[in-house]
Order: sequence, then structure tokens, then C-alpha cells
Amino acid sequence: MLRETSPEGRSDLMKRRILLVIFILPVIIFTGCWDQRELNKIGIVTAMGIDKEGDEFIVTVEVIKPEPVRAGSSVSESNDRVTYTQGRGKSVFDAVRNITLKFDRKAFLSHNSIIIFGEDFAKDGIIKYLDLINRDQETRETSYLLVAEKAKSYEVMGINAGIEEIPGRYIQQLVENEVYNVSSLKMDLVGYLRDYYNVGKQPIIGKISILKKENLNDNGSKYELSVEGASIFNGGRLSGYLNADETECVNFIKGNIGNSIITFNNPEKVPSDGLSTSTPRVGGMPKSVGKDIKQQSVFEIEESKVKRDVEIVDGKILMKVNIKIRGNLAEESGDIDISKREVIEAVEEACSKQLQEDLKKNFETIQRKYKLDVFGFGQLFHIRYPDEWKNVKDNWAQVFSESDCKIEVETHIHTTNLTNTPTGKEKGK
Amino acid sequence: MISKKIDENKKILEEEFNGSSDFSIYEFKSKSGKEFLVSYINNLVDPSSISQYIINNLLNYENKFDITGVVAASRITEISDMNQIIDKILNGNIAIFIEESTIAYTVELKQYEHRAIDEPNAETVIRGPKEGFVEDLNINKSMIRRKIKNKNLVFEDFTLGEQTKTRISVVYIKGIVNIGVLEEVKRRLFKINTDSILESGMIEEYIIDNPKTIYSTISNTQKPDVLAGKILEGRVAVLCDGTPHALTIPKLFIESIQTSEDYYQRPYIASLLRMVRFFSLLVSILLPGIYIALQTFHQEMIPTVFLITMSENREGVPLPAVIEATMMILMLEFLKESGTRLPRAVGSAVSIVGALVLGQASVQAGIVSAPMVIIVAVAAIAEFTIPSQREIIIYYRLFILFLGGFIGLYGITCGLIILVVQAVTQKSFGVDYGYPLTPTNKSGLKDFLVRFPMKFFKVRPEAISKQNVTRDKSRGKK
Repeated sequence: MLRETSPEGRSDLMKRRILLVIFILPVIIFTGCWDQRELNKIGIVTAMGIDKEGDEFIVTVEVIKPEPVRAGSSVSESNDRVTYTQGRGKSVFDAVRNITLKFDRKAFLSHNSIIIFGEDFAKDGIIKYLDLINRDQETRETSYLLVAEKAKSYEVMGINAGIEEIPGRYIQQLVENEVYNVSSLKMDLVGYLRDYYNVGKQPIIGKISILKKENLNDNGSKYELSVEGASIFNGGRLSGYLNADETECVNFIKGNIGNSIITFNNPEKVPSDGLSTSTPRVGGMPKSVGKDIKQQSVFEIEESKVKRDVEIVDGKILMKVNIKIRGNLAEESGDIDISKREVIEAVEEACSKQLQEDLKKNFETIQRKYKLDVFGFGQLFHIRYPDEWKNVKDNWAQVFSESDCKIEVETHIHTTNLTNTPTGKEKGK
Repeated sequence: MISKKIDENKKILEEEFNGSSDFSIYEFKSKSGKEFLVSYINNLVDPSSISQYIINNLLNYENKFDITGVVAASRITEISDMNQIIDKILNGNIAIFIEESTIAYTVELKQYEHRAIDEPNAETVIRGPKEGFVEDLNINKSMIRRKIKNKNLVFEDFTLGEQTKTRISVVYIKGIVNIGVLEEVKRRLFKINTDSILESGMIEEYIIDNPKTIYSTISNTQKPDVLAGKILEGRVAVLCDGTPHALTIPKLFIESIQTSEDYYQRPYIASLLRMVRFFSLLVSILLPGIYIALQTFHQEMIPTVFLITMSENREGVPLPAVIEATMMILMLEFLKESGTRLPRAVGSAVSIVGALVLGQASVQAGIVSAPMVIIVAVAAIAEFTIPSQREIIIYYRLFILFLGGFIGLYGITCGLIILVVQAVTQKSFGVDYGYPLTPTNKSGLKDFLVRFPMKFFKVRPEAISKQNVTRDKSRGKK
């Protein structure tokens, strides 16, 4: 049971206990509530725009405007879920702080998921100003970066043509839709910095542009946003925009394929009989349809695997890309008999060919036009040939633009979904 | 000492009982002229039995001293000490003094009103026996004996309390009980020096291991099947006359999330419910604290959409979040306490007012935010799944709330460390409170968060049971 302790032992024990308390208490007390902030003292920022006018930085923030919720009272009809405020200053942080002069709540950046750069600002170079966002513990490194094409960032902010009530989240959703459509680019701060610091790789971020809304039935905003394309950077400065096809090419080669789709022309010749390929006929043109109408198939990618490699062949650098895609036949406008394995194989072949050609074309455009290695082949080359890399690293952009590339595509259609018969196929054929 | 003269005995007894109105004493003569003195407490004995079995027979009595052959009663005792006789009278016996004899007889003819065996209100079950202990010790003993028909089931009786002379009974199964624990229980029981024991909770407080910590290391039950199960694992139980709550010793932490139903239902549902109970213990203690910590320190950890909802609810609430939470928890305690104390008739009125005030009016008035009401309500509901850890939950909930509100998640981590360290360092009568997790025991873990099927229970809990550990007798024979 209880240990017998001598009076000296007991006072020793007491001393130790007091010491323990003295050591533990400050740990608990002095770590204190210095960073405590009540929810109704902060303004939650959902989007942030950075611009530059002359020497002055302009930071625009989109802040949530919380409508007090009271049980029983009806929800107010006002659409103002957010409010905008702007600060100007000598530096980005100065501009952020100057917001407090005009806006009552301190901007809370932890939930900011969108950072938009005005075009002028991006041309001036974003990397040195990203330091604040990278350094500050409040900002989120997973914020998506976007460049506003031919616009100031604050012109983009506030446009909401979607269902989301908060414009910032509308933009976020657009960016995240990349998984279904790779002609846009999703890049967050971490990814940008990673690409920037990688030798032999140029960073690339998303692009956002304002479009005039064509649907006149809608009484809402006259404009809508589009994240199609990407902005390409050279050493932290904006050097141009990629169009949709080029962006798609970048995404494919980087292995960022998601659930995108490929539209391709049907093979000219398909085997008519599953057993014998000896009686080919002209690729499924129904007689009623004019010869000038193309028959197209659409392939939806479910799984993909991309292998990239760099080799030196005969003293020249060869960049190799091997793409394996697996998915389903999503749309078929021709009348080919896709219940036959041979036909499917021909369709797979056509799909591979189409993709391969598209990628090759766009790859070469990027190579020749921008001379920027956004794919990271320099990085691969650095790993494979460290010695040779030393010779080319200073003019890698030039070497890259002159190198050859070889793209291989393998397609596998594992299902034709609910039907084997194209809807347009004539009866009895 | 008993005097040979009836008159003197009568005088002594009348003095001892201070002329209390429920004390009866009277003399009569048998046909042979022998004088008798009969005394008892009115309302403890059966008056018709007295006349039928005792007085009737004694009137015809002729023999000199020995009346055992005459009085038709089974529980008849010879006593020569006056103090013992007084004790017996107080316990519902009839004392019979005979002229010219220094030996008196006591006959037990107890009869008094007691509550019928009923379903215990504190431990209700869906599957399993519905009977619960009553206030009468003897009935309680009979209920246990009916469960365990074994000659090794032992009841050892003591009397505690100078004034109340409460009968208590230590129950165990010889050959299974942990002797160390049994000796320790008896040693601590004998050391109790008090004038009154009215309920087993008072005994619990006298014999508990460490009164300074909040953890209770003695368990209690109202159900004979639970008690039987526990003594079959090698535990010791203490019954106390006058209360339906029996103590079982030692108590492990895991017992608070176990129920008797776990063993009567299939293991799948039992395991799931046990995990639910454990989770609800965590929720009940931690939820308000974590909510406040996230809300006032770590807003970046909350999903954006949820944060927006939260901030909309917070908008216009005048008090800081910690105060708001404390207020709600206090209101809840008011409600719970008034629900227990109030007469039944007023109870429903209180619950209506409470629900309206707490649930709607306070939110509508903008004094508290709606999510706070939900959080506190969830914590309260979770609390009811583990009634035996109520005090720990209530105290630690507030403790964690303040730590979370003033220091954030760091404080909650500190609080949790304190909570866990305190729990695992407890000992209940020499048995580790955290068993079977600390110290880890492989066979004990089969009856931890997951209740294994019965065929896996080959041994009793090794921390408690030291002798005759095997349950599976076929294994013992090999």
C-alpha cells in the first residue's frame, strides 16, 4: 500500500511536486490565447486578386458576408453572400494590411482557394511576390493560381454564372472540373513552386478569361468565366497563353488525364465479319448519309498510364512518351458493328492514331513557338544523363525546342456501355 | 447478564428501549405456573405467528427450561448476553425470557413490508433478466443464490455503523475469488468507523482506493445477473441492507462500457454497440472542447462551406464562444438536475420549458448559436450511453472545454494526456484500472472493444482471477 516515507523524504517529494507544477504550469498557461480569434471578428476570404498599377500593388479580396441565421426568421433574399474590398500599398502585404483601413474585419486568408493575377502583374513576374503567400502561415498553399487574360484580377472577381452562391467557389469548381476536361489547367501554389524550383521544367498555371454570356434567357450576370487554356511562364514572368488543344497536350504528357474524352474519326476500313477480315468494305457509310459526313467515335478515359523517358540516340536527344489509356466507348455516330472484337480493335487503333497525331502536333507547337519545357523533360534528362546535362543545362530551352519526340499511344476499350449497336445504324445492315 | 428474575429483565429492557412506542414487552404464565417474558418490536414481527407458534405453545409448557422442543419455529437461538438480545430484537426477533433461567431464547419471526422485486430503473435492458435488487438484504441474497446454485458461494455478514447497525454482506465464490482482493476488502471494511451507513455509496467512499481522483474504482449494480457475472470472474461483491445497489470490487475502466446485454446478444451487435459506447464517451468529453478550439483557433481546419455556415450562425451572437458553450452546458445541467429532483407531475412542464428555452428561444433571440445547441445536445445524449462514468464526463467536459477555449487543440491534447495518465495509473484494490489495455493482456483483449464469441472466453480476466483461472473445464482435465 502506501510507502512509508521519512520526513526528509516527504519534503523532498513535496519539492519535486512543486517543481513539476512550476514546470508544467507555464507550458499550459503561457502558450495562451494570443492567437485566439472569434469567428465574428474575422472576414473569411474566398478569393484574392493581385494587380499592379505603376509601383502600387492592389490586392482585392472577396470576403464572406455572413447573414445572421435566426431560427424561425425567413432567409433573407439578398444575393450578397460576399463583399469585395481592395487595398493599395507599396508591397503585397502592405496592400493586404491597408484593407483594414477601409474594411472592418481582418482578412482571414486560410480559406482562400483562388489567387488571381492580373495580366500586367503576371507579365511583371509573380514569383517574387508569391513569397508572402508562401511564407505566411495563414495562407493556404493549395490555393489555385490563375492569370486573368487581358484583364485586371478585380475585373474577373465577382462574376458568377454558376450555381454556387459564392463567386470564389464558382471559380474553384471551374478549376476542379479539370478532371473531366483537360483543356484547362489546375495548378496550386505548391505545384507552381515545385515546378519553378525544378531544373529543366517551366511552371505553368491556369488561365481565366471573361466571356460575354450568350444565353440571353438568363437575367443574371452578363458575363461568364472560362478557365480554358493555360498561362505559360518563363522564369516567373508570364510569356504567353496556351490554347485549349495545347493545354490538353500538356496535361496528357504530364499524365494528368483524368476522365477526359477523345473524339476521333472512325477507321476508313473496318472488318465486316468477325471471323474473316478478307472482305473489307468501305467504312460504314450508310447509303442515305452523304459521303462528306464524318463518322466519329468518342472515347472516355477511365484509367491512364503515362511513361516518359529521354534517350540520346545518335547524339540527338529523343523524348519518348508512352500513353496507355483504358476506358469506354462513349459515343458512336457511325454504323460500325462494334459487337465484334476486330472492329473494336480497329476503333482502338484509330483512337490511338488520332491522339498520337494531336499530341505530336501540339507538342511541336509548344516546342517551336514558346521554346519552354513545361513538360519537365529537362528534369528527366538530368536524372538519366547527369553528365550530359551539365553541357546543356544553360541552354536547355534551345536544346528542347530542337529535340525530337516520339509519342506512342495504346488504347483499350473495355466496354461499349449499354449497347453494342450504334443508334444511327440502319436496320438489317 | 440476564437476571433470573423476570421483573428485573423487564426493567432493563424497558430502560434500554427508552419506552419507545414500537417496543412491546409482556409477561404471562403458563398453565403450569411458569412465568414468561416476551419482547419484540411491533412492526418487525408477524403478530399472528407470535400468538400461534409461541404463546400458544408456551401456555401448555411444563418442562423446566428448554423450550426448543415446544416453540414451533426453526430459527431459535439460545443467548445469555443482554446486549446480543437487544441486537436480535432490533433485527426483528422475539426474545423469550423464562423464570429462573439465565438463558433467553430469540426466535426469528420477521415480517415487514418491502418493495416487490422490480425492474431496476437505472440499468434497463432489452434482452436479459429484468429483476433487480430490492432494499432487503435477505431477498437480495436469495436472488444471488438462485443464480449461482453452488455451495462455494459464500455470504459473509458484518454489521456497520454504531447507530444504524446496518447489515452488510460480502459475497464471493470460494475457489474463484481473488484472495488478495477479498482480504483487502475485509480489511478496509473493518476499518470503517462511523455511526451510520445508509447506502452502499457510503461504504464505497470509505473503502475506495484513491479518494482524491475523480475515477471511481468501485463499481455498483442493481442487477443480480450482473453481480453473479462479476463474482464469477473472481470479483468480490458487497451487499448492504437497505439499498438495491450492490458494490462490486475491483472495477476496471472497461466495465463502464460493458453491459450485461453484451453477453446475451450476438457478438456482432454487442461489439458494435460497445464501440459506439466508447466513441460516445470520447464525443461526450471532447466534442464541445474541440468545437470551440476549432472555432476560435483553428478555423483553417474546418471545411470552407462548414466554416461559412458556422460564421453565419455566430454572426450577432454577443458572447465569446467559450462563455456561450459554458452557458449552454450549465443550462443542460440545470435541466438534468431539475428533471431528477422534481416531482413527476411538474417534470413534463420543466422539460417543455427547457426544450423551448434551450432549443429555440435562445437561438431565436441570438444569445447562442444553433450549432452550439446541437453540439451540447449531442454531448449530452452521448453521456447517457455510459451512465457509470457520468462524473468523469461532466468534469472533464468542462476541463477540456476551457483548455480548448483558451489554448486551442494544444490544450485539448494536454487535457487528454492528463485524463489518460490519471486513468491508467489508477489501481482498484491492487488491480490495474486500465486492464486489459494497460497492462496489455491478450486474452483480456478478447473482451475489450470487440466482444469475441463465447467459445473464445476460456479464461477469466487474468488481472482479477488468480486461482482457478480456466473457465473451460475440458481444458483443465487434459
